[in-house]
Amino acid sequence: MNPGALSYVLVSVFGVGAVVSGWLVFRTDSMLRAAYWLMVSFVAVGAMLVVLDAQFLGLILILMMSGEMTIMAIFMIMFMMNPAGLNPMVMVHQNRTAIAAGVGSFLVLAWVGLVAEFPDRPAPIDDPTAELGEELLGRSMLVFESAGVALLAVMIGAIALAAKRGRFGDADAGSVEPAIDIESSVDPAVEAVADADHADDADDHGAGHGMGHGT
Amino acid sequence: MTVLGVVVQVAAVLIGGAYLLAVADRLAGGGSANVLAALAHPIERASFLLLQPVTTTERPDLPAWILAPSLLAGLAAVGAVPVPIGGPSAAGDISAGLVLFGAAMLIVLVAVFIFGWAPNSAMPMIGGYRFAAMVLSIGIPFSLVVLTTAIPAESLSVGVIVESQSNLWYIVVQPLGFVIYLVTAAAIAFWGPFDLPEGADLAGGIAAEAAGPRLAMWRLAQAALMVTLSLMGAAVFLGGYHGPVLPGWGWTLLKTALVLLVLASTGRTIARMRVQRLVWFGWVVLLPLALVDVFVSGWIAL
Amino acid sequence: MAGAGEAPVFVVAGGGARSALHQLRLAEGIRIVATPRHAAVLLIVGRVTEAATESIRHVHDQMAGPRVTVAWGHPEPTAVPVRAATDGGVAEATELIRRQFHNVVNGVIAPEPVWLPDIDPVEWRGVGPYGHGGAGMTGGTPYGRPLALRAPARDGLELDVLPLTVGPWFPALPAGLALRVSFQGDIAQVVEVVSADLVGFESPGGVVARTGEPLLIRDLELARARHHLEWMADTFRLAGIDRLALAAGRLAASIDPGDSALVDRLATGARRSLLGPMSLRGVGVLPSDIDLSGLGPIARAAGRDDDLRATEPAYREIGFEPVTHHGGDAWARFEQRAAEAVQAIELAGRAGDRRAFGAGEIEGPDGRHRVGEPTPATRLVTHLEQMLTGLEWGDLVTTVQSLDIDMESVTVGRAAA
Repeated sequence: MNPGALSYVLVSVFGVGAVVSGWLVFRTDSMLRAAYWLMVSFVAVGAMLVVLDAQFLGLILILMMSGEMTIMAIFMIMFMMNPAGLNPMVMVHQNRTAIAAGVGSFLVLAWVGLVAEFPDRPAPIDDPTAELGEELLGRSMLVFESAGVALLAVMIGAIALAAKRGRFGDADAGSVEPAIDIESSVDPAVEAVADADHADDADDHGAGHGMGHGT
Repeated sequence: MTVLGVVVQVAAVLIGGAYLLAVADRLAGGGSANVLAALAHPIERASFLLLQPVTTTERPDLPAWILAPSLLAGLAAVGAVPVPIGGPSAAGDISAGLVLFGAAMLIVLVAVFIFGWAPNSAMPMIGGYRFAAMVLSIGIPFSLVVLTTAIPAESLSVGVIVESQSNLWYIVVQPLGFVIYLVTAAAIAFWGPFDLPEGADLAGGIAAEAAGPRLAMWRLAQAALMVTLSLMGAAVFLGGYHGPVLPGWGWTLLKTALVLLVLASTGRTIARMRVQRLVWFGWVVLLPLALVDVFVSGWIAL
Repeated sequence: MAGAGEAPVFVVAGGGARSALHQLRLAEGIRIVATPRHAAVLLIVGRVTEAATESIRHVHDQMAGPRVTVAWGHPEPTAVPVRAATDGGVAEATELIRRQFHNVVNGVIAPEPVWLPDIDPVEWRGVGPYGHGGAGMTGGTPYGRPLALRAPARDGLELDVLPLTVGPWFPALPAGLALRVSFQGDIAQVVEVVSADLVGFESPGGVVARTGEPLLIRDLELARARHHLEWMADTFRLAGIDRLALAAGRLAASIDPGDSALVDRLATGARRSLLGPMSLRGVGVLPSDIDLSGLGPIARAAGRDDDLRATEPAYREIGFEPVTHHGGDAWARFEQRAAEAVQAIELAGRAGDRRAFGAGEIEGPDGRHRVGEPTPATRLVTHLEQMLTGLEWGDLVTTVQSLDIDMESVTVGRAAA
């Protein structure tokens, strides 16, 4: 098999993988699985870029997406102390809006794909990473320098905010006593959904399923 | 070198290094004073774990639980591929090898997090959360100091970075970078004093529910990850295969073993850091220091 | 091969097991593990009460197998069917554990079956395409457990609460202490002490129920030094500094009036391992409304000059001056106990055959014991909920460890009061 055919096959496999894992995002019953299927989808797109000789772009995409999806998963799960989807949940909602938005954006992208002019004989490139560097610091220098300075400012700002006695108080202010009073502040609407008959079982949550805490 | 050759080479280095780490950790912890007993210890433990039945918990996410140890081991292997071991090689020529390594090390977060989340149990889950908090705090300094070694070499290829150290190892021009690398590498491999996800206060944390072959695989994967991090540290800071008398692969393995032993000995001799302090340490101490490293290295390179 | 290695042991430590357990940690060929999942041998040391049976069965069934149960130092048979038992010393116990482990791994004896039926605590009742069982995204109770209740966290966000019982044999908490914790993330928002006396005790009067004969200062001070060294070993182990933990354990096992320099070296080692800045400093400061008097090292670590020994003439003769530290956090308690261990060894060396403390009261290693008064541990347990609420889990464990609560002493104190 010649290299051209091999990369054609690989790109197709990763492309199908990206679509299938993207579809699985909506077919699972837990937020963590959804977030990581989305990550798998992005990793497949990154792998396509790598196969297409854009190694740097592909790897950067994978690097960024794995970090981002974990942050997303943490933010979602953080609000839900729900190990392994003990209580499964529906991952789709607002179906009509979602369908409309999906179809709309597909049509727009397909239209762009059809009318845009792609070079049919790309110039041979020795080192795509160096080429990308030339692009970033050549023609697009101003744009990327501005973005770079802005990001640096954000990093310095993040350090300033995270530092002890920052603008919003001490760095560890969220994790020191006194604790808030949970018992009296449980949202009554949520409590009503939770089956009152089984309130007692909640206490046995740990003992029941063999947690390694030595009950 | 063929693809098969690279696979065999990486597997041999990782498994050999993992064994060395297990023995060194045993000696550092003071578990056995006698070296022979320490040499037998990893094998005895592994043979017991492999004999145990596979256990489960109530309604775990089984595919994720099975996948996580293999994913971690695979990431360790992927991270080790771009490092040239014996001298200039095809694998070392991957043009964005350093980025491949960085991406693999960040996905470690995913593997560890799902390993803690999958058994459907509180202590492993809290361990997984802690690891996420840790890696988000030290991930940026880690990436910065690794990528800074590309500045004087003017390439993201690990092969070129090692080749450019033929006269001067980068530890000389970037000592700060090397120290930050060691600290953050220990944290990424959840090794002491940053073994918070498996801390004693969580009764084993992410591995609390794992037993038998799954635990054996997890331990092997963690040790392989340590070897990969040491291998890359030896390559980009300690000059990789450069050195007199010994053949190139000898120097690479010797320097890797040295980094591995340093990490093994600090793992059991420094107290485990509190999670709040670690998050503070990552953002307030390591990140500014890593930026200083970037600026100083960039200035020297200019 | 497998049976030749170290026996992984999970310990259920009852009353009177403290020193025996510390000696077992030094034994070759035994590894005490943090979770029953990693263990092949369940070791029940010391006295446990009938009330502990159920929790021991739970622990037993979490072992991955092949599993075997061994009892050590039980004066009377327990309610759980142990495979083998010994009343001997640490050498016999080590030998027995190793033999049982070897036999069960190599198939010489049959592994124990599980003791409880392996069924879900609540039957599965999921309905609907995703098994989520109700209205809305997350409605319903498919596993019979309601979704975690939602409650505002203190930064104004809404977070789910995970209720969980930790203990009574959780290795990072005192044996026999069970906490009912409501977690938000790893913050313990509500902490409740589950009071069930699971740990048995030797004599209902504890330390003060003696004949009335004053004690030899030498014995008392060596016991104090041993107690503090064992506590230091546990603290090191919790912080992951295994080498120092072993050194402290060895020193405790062979304590001698000439050893004060060795204890000093241990404290220096602790400082070099960054124990203070990394994990103890700033953790476990007690609320100001807790009465510290009689709490021994805890009071003295907060700068209180509170020590019954200062009122004893025999102690004044050998030049006793109470040591104090400032800060009142876990690190101050560590430095306080290390300093008291050094001081105790020196006092033991100078004491000769002097005696102190007639019946009725004594300054124990954990504070003042007096007839008719709750023990220091009993008093601390009543304040636990107040002290631990709102702490990060790691800090919570560090705080409890720094308070040196012995559940045997709690049971004794409850019986006395």
